[in-house]
Amino acid sequence: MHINFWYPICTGEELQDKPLRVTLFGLRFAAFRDSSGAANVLADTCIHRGGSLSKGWIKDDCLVCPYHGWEYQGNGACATIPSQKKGKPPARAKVDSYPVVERYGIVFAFLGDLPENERPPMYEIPQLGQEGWRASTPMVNEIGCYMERAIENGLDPFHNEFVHPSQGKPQLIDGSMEIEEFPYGTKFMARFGEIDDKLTGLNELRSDPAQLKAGSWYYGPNTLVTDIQFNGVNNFIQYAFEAPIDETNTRTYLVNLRNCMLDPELDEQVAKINQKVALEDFAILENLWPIRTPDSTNKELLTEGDVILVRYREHLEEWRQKGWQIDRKALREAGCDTAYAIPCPGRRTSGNWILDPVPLLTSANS
Amino acid sequence: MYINFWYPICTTEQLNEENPRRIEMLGVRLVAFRDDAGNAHVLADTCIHRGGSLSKGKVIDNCVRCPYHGWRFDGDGKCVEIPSMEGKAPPARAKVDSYPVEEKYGIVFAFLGDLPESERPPLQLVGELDQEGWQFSGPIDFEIEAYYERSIENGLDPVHNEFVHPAQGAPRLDEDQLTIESSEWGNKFVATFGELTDKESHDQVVERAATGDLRAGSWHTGPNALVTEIHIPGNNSFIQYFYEAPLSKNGTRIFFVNMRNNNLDPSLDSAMNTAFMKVADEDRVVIEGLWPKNTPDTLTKELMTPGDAAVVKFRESLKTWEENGWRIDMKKMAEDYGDVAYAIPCPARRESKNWVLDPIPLIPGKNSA
Repeated sequence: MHINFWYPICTGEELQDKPLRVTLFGLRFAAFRDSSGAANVLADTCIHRGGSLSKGWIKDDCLVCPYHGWEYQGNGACATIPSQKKGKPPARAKVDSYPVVERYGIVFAFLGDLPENERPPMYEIPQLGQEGWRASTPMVNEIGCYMERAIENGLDPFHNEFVHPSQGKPQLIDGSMEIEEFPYGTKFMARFGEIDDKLTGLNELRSDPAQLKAGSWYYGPNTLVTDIQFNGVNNFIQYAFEAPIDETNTRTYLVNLRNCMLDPELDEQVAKINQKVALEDFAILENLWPIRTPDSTNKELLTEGDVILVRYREHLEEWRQKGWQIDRKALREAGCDTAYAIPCPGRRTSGNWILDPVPLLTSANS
Repeated sequence: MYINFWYPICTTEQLNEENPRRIEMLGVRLVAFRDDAGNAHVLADTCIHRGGSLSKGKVIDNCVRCPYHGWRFDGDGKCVEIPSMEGKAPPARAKVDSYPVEEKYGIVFAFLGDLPESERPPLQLVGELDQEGWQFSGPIDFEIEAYYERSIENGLDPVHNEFVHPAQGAPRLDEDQLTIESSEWGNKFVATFGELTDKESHDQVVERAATGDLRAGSWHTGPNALVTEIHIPGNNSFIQYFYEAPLSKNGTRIFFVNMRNNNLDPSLDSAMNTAFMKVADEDRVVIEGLWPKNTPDTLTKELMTPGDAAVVKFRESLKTWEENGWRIDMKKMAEDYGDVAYAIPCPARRESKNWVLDPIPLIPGKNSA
């Protein structure tokens, strides 16, 4: 689990006129909308005496703590302390506030303290708004597995043959894998043959073994894209934005882009097909052992087909060396004794923060 | 919990020809399956490729097949096929632990440990099975929310009956000092019980002779097998075998088999079993309420009496096995839960190297190998 990336917090629809509690990395966040409709994401813990801001209410563009009525602005600063009749709240009266972008029907927050020009950018969906493409609303799932296991599953071209009867158990064609590197990610595309042609019953999605091409790539620790070119023309590109709820649970937001079956009435059918495939993966993911990926690759027997997920692990390691990896064990040991917050960019420009920053691994203590 | 003993895995009936079965005990995951000949196999459940759960896969051609990438493992734990490496033989490291299996009395047992055959503690056998005049019933398997050592100690305790077992007439121990007979793998006592202190509630399954004492006793074999013998005046005897599987700090699965030399008609099996389970339920209520869940580490945290002699002997035996280096380090296991796939080392680890799964952490003993 790494800070300094964009994480999905909730769908736009889930965030209405009430604050929402969201858990990521086992830490609590409060999301709320101000009067302009803009979404804000704050650390959930009131720095007075631990009230849960998400259990409060919204007043004048502020989130009000339900315990003593302290009012926090979207930027995390406390604007009003009702019990203090005179003067302004002290400078220390603030909670972490995170940069937010609402896109694809999802509220994303940048969970980390990097200044804007150093941040890994939000993932852009290039087909969005282009003629001939239709985007689905986000499909949300909660899986009882560690997020990195879910991403690795998506980067694995060999599991389809065994895990996905609903896709016709496509077999990778030997030697057809092409790999491409880019900032924060790695991609592969490959040819698949030997389709067991019983599938969806939809002509548009019938794979042509002579033309079927598919691949996937990761971007950062938590974005996974899958590209399926069924027959040279019809194409699904699926964008999965994933949030680690904690070290054993993951929430995924899947946005499907398609260049076929463009009739909006077919949305439901496409969602149903995708969900069927997703459930086949979850049955595997929820039974993997150990729950977290082992620390070293000699605790597994990796094969040539695992090359992309090995790249993914190398990238995770690079981000650890930058000091971005959460120290899960320290976090677990602290249990319910410490209120940790992911440091927000504001911490780089002012001092005096009350909540402890989440423990991070350094390159020395891995 | 200890490695290097025979543990009950499941009943014969629970393991069919088609589907592998997941078993979680001693802090690890195991998979059981049958080959074409019907032989049961017990392996570590974790595929050494990328952690797939073999028990969620299929049985194909005498092998269990991982549901993730189709790697097939035979009964010896050897990977015989890696589909993505078409045609190539799997590397030597491609193997998971496989444990010796015995199927008896309707129960699949596995030896969970790495001792070579000549050094293994024996499986507790049902002695009366081949003798004329005895009737077998069982197995019955049930779970209790208690630590298995508490359950075994309960069986070795002749003083609790008076308070816990009205269904047996609440018999009172008639001896001040228990005579314990010890052997390498267990400790046994047989004692006389006098008065039935609760005749009213007594759920008699056999006719009692008018005179004579009730003789009863019990013994353990290894940490997890318990036998109780009850001789009711009038030559009516019951020998009861309890094979216990430690699931967790707070869970035990018990496989129970009964032998009797009376009421031999098999149609009475079910009524007999109902009566036995009534007694077991009386124990369950008490055992599940014990605190702490694990027996304390030293005798000074309890106040033991002469009636606890067999219990004390049991703990001494456990200590011996701990000194052999067989005791699982449960604290380390809890700390690494979800982060490390541990396997109980199997006998083949003594003969070949390159095992992918980490061996389960053990508490070092004075006589550790």
